[in-house]
Amino acid sequence: MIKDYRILFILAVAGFVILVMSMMKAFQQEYVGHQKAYYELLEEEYTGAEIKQVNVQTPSVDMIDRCQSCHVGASNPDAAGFEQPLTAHPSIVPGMEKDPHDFNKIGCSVCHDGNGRALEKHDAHGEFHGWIKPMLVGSLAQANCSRCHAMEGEALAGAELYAKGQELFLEKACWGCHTIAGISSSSQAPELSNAGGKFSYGYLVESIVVPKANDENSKMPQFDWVHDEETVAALATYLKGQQKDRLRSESSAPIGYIKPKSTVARITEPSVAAGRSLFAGAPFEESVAKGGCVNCHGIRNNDGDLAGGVIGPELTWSIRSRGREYVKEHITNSRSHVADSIMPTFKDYNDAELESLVSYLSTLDYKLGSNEGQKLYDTYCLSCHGEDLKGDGKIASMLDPLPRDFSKYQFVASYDDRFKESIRHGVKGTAMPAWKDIMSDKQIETLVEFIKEKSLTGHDEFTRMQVTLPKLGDAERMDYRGKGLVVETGNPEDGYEAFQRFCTSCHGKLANGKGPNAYDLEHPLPRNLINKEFMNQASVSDARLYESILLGVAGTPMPAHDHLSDQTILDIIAFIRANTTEEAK
Amino acid sequence: MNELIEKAKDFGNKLYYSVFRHRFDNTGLTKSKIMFSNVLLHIQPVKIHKRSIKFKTSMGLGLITFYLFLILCVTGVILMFHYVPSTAIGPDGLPDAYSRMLNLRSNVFWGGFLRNMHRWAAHGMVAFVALHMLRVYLAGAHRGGREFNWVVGCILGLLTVFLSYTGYLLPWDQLAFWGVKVGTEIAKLAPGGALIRGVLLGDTDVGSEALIRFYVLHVAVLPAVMGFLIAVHFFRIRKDGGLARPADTSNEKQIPDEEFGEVKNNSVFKTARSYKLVEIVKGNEPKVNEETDQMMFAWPKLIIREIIVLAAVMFFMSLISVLFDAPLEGPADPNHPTNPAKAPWYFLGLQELTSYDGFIGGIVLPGLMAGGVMFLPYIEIFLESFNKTFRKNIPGVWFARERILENSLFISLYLVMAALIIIGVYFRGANWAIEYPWVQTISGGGH
Repeated sequence: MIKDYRILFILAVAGFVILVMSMMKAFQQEYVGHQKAYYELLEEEYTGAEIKQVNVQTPSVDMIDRCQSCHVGASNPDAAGFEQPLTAHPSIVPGMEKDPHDFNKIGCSVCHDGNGRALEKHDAHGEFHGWIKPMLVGSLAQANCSRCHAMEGEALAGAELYAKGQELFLEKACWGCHTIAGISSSSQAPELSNAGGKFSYGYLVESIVVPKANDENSKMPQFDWVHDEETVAALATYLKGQQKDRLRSESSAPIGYIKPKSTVARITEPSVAAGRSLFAGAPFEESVAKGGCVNCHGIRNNDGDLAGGVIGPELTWSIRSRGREYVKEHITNSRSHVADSIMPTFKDYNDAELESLVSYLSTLDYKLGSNEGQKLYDTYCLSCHGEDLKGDGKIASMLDPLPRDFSKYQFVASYDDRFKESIRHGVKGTAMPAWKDIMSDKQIETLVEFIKEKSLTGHDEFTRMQVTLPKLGDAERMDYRGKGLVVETGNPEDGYEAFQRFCTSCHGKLANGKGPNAYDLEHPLPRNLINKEFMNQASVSDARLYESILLGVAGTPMPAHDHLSDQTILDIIAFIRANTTEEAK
Repeated sequence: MNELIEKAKDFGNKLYYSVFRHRFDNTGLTKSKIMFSNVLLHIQPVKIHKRSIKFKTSMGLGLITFYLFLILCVTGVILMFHYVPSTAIGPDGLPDAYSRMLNLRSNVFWGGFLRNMHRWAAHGMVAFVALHMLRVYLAGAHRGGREFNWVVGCILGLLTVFLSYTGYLLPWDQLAFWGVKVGTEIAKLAPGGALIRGVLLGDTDVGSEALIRFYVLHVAVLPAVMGFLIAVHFFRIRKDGGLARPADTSNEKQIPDEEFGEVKNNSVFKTARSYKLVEIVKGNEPKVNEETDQMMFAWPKLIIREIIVLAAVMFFMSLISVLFDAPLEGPADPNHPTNPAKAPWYFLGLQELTSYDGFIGGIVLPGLMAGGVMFLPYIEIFLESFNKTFRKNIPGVWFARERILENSLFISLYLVMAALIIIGVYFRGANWAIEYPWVQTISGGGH
């Protein structure tokens, strides 16, 4: 029995000690120690700790700010030499005798974020998981200048990083896809007008450097310049500064508020120089540059050296292969020509700006003199079709449909005329341009031979069966199984039924090539069958469709469908045609 | 003077007896009186079987669960003074409920400790309910007239989980919002689940209506039901003759008599064990004049041991609450799902199952499991009476050989659930993909 009493006694004492400890923890807060140390350093009398709270009143919210309970010397110049957290805050506006920011009025969290009401370091700095505003350390706080000051127009002293980010946003063509109210309008990518309100600084940096880090489905390309830490920091700071909830309206804004320029000066006279600036994303004369094609597209100088981005196709040949009108239309609405293009629509360019751009692109006239297969391929084909002819060039992943994979020798062996035609006239509705004005016929011959040799060497011969489109109403006709069958004109409605049964798993219910199985297929992906430009070109004849459905497409996942009757195939063709000629049913 | 002292003594005695009605001497009569004249103690019998206070009999699991419930009631009531179940955006730009959580952590004296205590005790209670149930089954204490009490216990278990779950939403942070969201989405899959979900949430989605409903359920409805059912649960244990034990305990090693303290004047209580009235009651009620040598006075041994458990629970809960802070994330934001969005741990087994198949994993299996476990004793009886395969049940004996099949099945059920929960808690990362806890994935600003 006495043992029980002993255990009880020990546990009771231990429990009591822990409870007292928890109370002590509640009494002995960090700021008390900091304040004691502070007054000791100042050699002033310590009269007891107090919570120094600033209530920052703004039109929308009352911010509670107790940071100076620990950072007690923030606005005391005598504390300049002290260690953190007691030290004085360095001057915000460089070269100013007395800093216009009064911490007793605005507190700290207005600029530095964090969790202002907390008194424990980890908590107050917002370092706990999921807190929307982790503390912006040091000069990163300039992202928050925009909460009170308007930042457009002249740069605010002390906010150099932010100003640089603003320039970069235009120069790096971020504006092409992302909307920031007053600067750009595009529906291509998430709007960033409230990026700072929604995302933490760390998240923004991560999303710029590795776009897929936070969203696996992100379509944002990974840019080359992300290795430059300063550039990323500047951009992220600028984006962090984009906040919808401002603390000051225009009328109550503090001194230094600059009225934003509502309009950006535009180019009015077309010129090659202006086009060049737009292309490079550099300011031109008085206008703020809103260009930056070079971030995605590369060009070649007269010596044939390639420079620029590797996200979109090279533009050295675009005017010669596509023509001026096509390029202009493509800039303002890329999907009008290539149904699945990821290029943003730059619809707010005016005529002068478009003209300037096209004029600049017209000045690019590099041509390869050599007639050597390898050189031709490396110059004209490499960036899309890749080094090993696998259709995996640097920019291939950004193209839809993907560039042809020549390493699938069955394909190369099967289509001879079509191959040459595609090079000569391009493939409409895709990124493949016409090369007839750039390469001579002889060069094209050489190139075809080069690709054929590379692709076919080391493989068995491949012969494809020859089929012809069945004639309508032919009573004598035997189908390939030797059965007599009269075929009629295809019926799109029956074709729809058949399509839903046999085709949707890869080509999708909408026939856009995005069926559920398409995601698991390898390189040549299912064709987008509602790509009007592609479907309505001469080379995509009914005979080709018939052959592709019946025999499959050599060297692609498209299988043979010889279990379908000719009539069904004609119905399906009729359905596909109906989709791209009139409105889809 | 002496007269005055006498009068004072007399007054003092009257005062004392009006409160206590008995002295604290060692007579059997007093020991009995202590027990049945005190409202808190009289729920226990005056004399109990010596076996009942051995650690291995019950491991105190039920008692620990009950103490955690008491801790939750006390800390919960204190927290109620500080909490507002409102999602309205306060002057600081944060939802009121969430802002109160921040206040508890940084503004309210001892607030963080109380919240930690409440949080950890809630998780602990769910865990100990499960352990208690495991103990009862493995010791065969769910049979022999105790079948219905098993059902009551199961309802109590479900109530515990539901109480914990309703409380999970109240902080109104990301963890709470998405945890509850996941749970209620699972409910949608059940037939009629959309209706139940609608009644529970008061809206088509988790929002301000859901918060107020969960709050009322959490602080008023469920604790009241729970309190009543706990009373029923305890009462039935008492009426079923205390903790389950085998019919013959004479061969078991018992705690020696001197451990229970000296008993003077034990004559009346040597043979008779309970009130005369009970002798004429039929059924499983405390038996009279049986095993008298194995019975002992509940006072003080049992009571002291119970207080030891209480002190231990308080000690460990306080220690955990001092060492570990209750999680709190950013304010709830319906537009930014956390990835992964995980339900509270006790539902993660369910969530794991749901990730394989919504209806089967989220509704059918858990329904079968909850229903099967709840009516387990009746299923056993049913099988026994219709198959005539009488299986001997020895109540109060751990891992009885005769019940090896049942025990193995029940332990397997626990192991499967535990494995699923461990997978759900530690091995599931973003997009519910398998992720190893020892491989650190770098994550940026969280939001």
